[in-house]
Amino acid sequence: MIDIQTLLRYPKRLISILLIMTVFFSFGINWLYIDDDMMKMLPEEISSRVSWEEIQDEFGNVDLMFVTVGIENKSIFTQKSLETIWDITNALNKIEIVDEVMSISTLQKIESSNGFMDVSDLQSERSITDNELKLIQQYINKNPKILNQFFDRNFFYTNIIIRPIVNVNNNELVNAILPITQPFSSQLEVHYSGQPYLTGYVPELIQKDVSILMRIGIGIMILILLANLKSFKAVGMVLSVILLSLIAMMGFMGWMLKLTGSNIFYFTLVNSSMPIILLTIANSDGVHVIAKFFKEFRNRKNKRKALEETVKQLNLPIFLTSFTTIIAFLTLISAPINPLIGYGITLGFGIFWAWILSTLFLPAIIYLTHWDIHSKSMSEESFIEKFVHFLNKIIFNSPKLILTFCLIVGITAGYFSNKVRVDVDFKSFFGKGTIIRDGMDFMDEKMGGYLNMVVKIEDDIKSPEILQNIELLQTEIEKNDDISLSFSIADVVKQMHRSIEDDNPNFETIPDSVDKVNNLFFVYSMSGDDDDFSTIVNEDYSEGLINVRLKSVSTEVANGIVKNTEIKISQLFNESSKVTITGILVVIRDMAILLVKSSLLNIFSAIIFIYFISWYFFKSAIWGFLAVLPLSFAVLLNYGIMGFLDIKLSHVTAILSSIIIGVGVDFAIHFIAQYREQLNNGVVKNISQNVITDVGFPIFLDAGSNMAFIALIFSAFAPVKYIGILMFFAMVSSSLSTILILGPVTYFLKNKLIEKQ
Amino acid sequence: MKTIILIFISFLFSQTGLEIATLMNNNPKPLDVKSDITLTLIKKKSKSLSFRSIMKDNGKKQIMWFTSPPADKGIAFLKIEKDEKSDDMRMWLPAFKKIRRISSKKKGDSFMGSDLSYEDLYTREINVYIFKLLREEKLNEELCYVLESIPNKDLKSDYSKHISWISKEKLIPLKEESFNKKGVLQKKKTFSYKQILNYWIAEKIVVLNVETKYSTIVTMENIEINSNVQDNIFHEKNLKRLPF
Repeated sequence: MIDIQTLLRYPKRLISILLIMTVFFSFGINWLYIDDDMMKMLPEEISSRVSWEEIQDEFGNVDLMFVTVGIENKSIFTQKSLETIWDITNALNKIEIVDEVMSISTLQKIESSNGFMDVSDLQSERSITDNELKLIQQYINKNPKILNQFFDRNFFYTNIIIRPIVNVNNNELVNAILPITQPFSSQLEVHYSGQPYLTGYVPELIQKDVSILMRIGIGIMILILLANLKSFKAVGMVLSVILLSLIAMMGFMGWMLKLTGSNIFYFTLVNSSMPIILLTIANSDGVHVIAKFFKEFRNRKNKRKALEETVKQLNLPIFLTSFTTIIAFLTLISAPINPLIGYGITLGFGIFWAWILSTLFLPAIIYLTHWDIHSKSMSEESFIEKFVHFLNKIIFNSPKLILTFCLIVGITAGYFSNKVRVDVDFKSFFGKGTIIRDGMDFMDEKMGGYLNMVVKIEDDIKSPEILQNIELLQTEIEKNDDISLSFSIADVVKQMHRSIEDDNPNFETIPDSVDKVNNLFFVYSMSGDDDDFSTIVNEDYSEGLINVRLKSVSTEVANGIVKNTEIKISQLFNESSKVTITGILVVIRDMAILLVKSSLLNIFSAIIFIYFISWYFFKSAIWGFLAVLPLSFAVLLNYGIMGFLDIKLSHVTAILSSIIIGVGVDFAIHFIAQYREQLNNGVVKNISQNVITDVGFPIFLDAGSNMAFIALIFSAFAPVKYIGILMFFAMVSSSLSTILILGPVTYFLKNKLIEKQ
Repeated sequence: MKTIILIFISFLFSQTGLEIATLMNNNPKPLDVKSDITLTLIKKKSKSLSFRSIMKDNGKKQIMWFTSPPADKGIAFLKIEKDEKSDDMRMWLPAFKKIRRISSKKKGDSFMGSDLSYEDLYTREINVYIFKLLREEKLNEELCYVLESIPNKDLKSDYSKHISWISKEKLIPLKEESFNKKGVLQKKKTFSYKQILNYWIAEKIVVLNVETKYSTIVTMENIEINSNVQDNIFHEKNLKRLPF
């Protein structure tokens, strides 16, 4: 590292070099690739992903988007409505990234005609007669599978189902569909749903919402910093460290993608938490440097000496806080979810750059700036400093009581943390009354939901035994109230069988011989197209799908549905049939489990790493223990609050642990480093109180300024709202636990710590 | 004056196109054809379909017995074209032991899941098309008329036009490109012939669907012509038993 004398000799040169390097990193932003494919987050070998990809290769995309049209209390079966649906369907079909559009306009009917099976268009032309309209309605009434798939019970609404091409960019898809459908909203209500819509449209909405709230948050943060540092220059310097670190980090991600081509460097939904995490960490570094400089300048009244002392005292703790946090995030390299690997590396770099800027750029800028010793920022105590004095008095008046209080809070938090439940129910992410939530509620209540589960059967699909098992499995699956319908080739075979037997409903069954099944398919190919079944059975009938549609459910319920289906599969199919379950439902479940596993693994490995690093650098296990004690307590407290407030552990809320660790370790290390510094200087009397006075201000200022993100509580999206709440509590818990735990503990262990030193 | 000349020339060309189509239509045709036909569908996974076919009256009467794949063996099909709108089509389904009457197909539908539609199989009536000779050029060293056929407005067709390369010498199509209603190239067909007696009989047709990139190969083997096929062979009772 550059020593302080060199730094102070060439401050302008140093600033220029660092700015040039940041600009160089920033070029990488051009190569950032935003990816909304949830499937890519899952490990390549996980069965739901393997199965999903096989299905996509064989059957095309099974992740469907729904556009539901209609008018409440008005039948959809009018010539005008069907013409509108026809127009929408045709327009949507022209979108290049759309593989297929299924609606009443594209449906095929299988009918018995003079004793033969006739396959034809349900709606033959855009404009139809009254009689044709009646026939369409009659046919749909006779076919409950079509009814459930496309209509509500009252025939007020109908689905236009869009099958995108494989590996579609959902945002691109939604932006292609909406301009086509929205003009029709003057004639009919138009509702949107489906996973492609959620993943393609919601991030944009969240981004808009969050960017407004983040601006408010940053505004409040600036005000808090200003109120306490009382210097625009100082606040500007802290912000410049934050901003330059953020730019370098995002650019680094782009560069890494450009250089490695690895999809771990795609910017996914998970990565959206990176800026806020780096912001809190960079803020911490900056605040500590500025606060320390102010203190030293106040005491020494000499800018150069104050800066030398600041750098001397903070070099090690800032290096250590950065190093431990980098290691903590690099543990994500072993994460089972791909984007988390890139996440760990990128954030690690961001923290590294924040460290470089805090220890080189910031002192250089401070040195070049004129500071007035008589200004308010130097002469007056801030609110936080007064609060720290007050806290010091309370803690050391009754340190045992404080520790007992912390212990009780810890036990209570431990109790409530057991109540934390994992849940990635997208529906619960959106408050009632929001467009998205209303759309989901509408789909759940009227149209049987939009989530899908897919069961893939690999065997001789034309075999009557297999078809019967598929039928039985569907019957069992449909017993669940959350499941609205299932559809497979067995349904088609039953319908064909009925039509070839003169529309006799008694023959709506699976035929008793494979020859009959073969004959039925042959007949179908005479008037229908083999491709009509391409989404439910493959070309050689060796693989078939059961497409199940269900309402929005919690991860727990999803898990139950999947497990029940697995039990039924094991009862119905023998070992020669390979049956796998996938679909968005399973993917969400797997992703939730993996995210929580990754998150917990990250917490434990980070704590262990921090423990050993602190032990190594502070040359004693006890310092290692003290470094992890407050942050472990803060993590426990965070989970306790989640359990108490019934905030679900999802991929969004799980990131809070990382923030706590990132910030919490900073606080603890600054405390320990200052404590050791005072021991080295021989200041033994009231050492814990002095340390709190010294580091309490930057710790609380950092925590206080980060609390500004409570502004996120006003978000329309529940996870963002929770981040606001939890961020607030994370800052309270990590700052207070550092002071309230390390203060009394070091007070009681004082002699032992002196001895160790 | 120039306009009048252009109109005259264009009129002259359209007449020539029609003349060529008429000449083709008047080509001598066998009274009947017996053959073993194989349809090879090249998709993601290829599959073949074979049947024994007997045709009479230029394909207006046809009976076919499916021989493979084994799953479809025994199925038989009878078609008697009466006029464009009411063909008599029957099918024998051995597993159900039933003969079923098939209603007239939509022309655009795929024939047996292949890249050929029913419209592709129909004989093109010259009075419902507008023919235009575009140019003459060589195709595989064979001099050809390049003939454009546009279905007239009254004809319900899935195509907007066809461009055919007609051998000048043999008056048989060697290649054809068919364009969909939007005017986009949809199918490419190439034909190979075998001369039996003085007839040119197509023994291989390759159809490429430009849109899906799938293709279908139709091959005809064991071709026999003018073997005095009687009308009574085209009867539903003959569907139930294979003629070999």
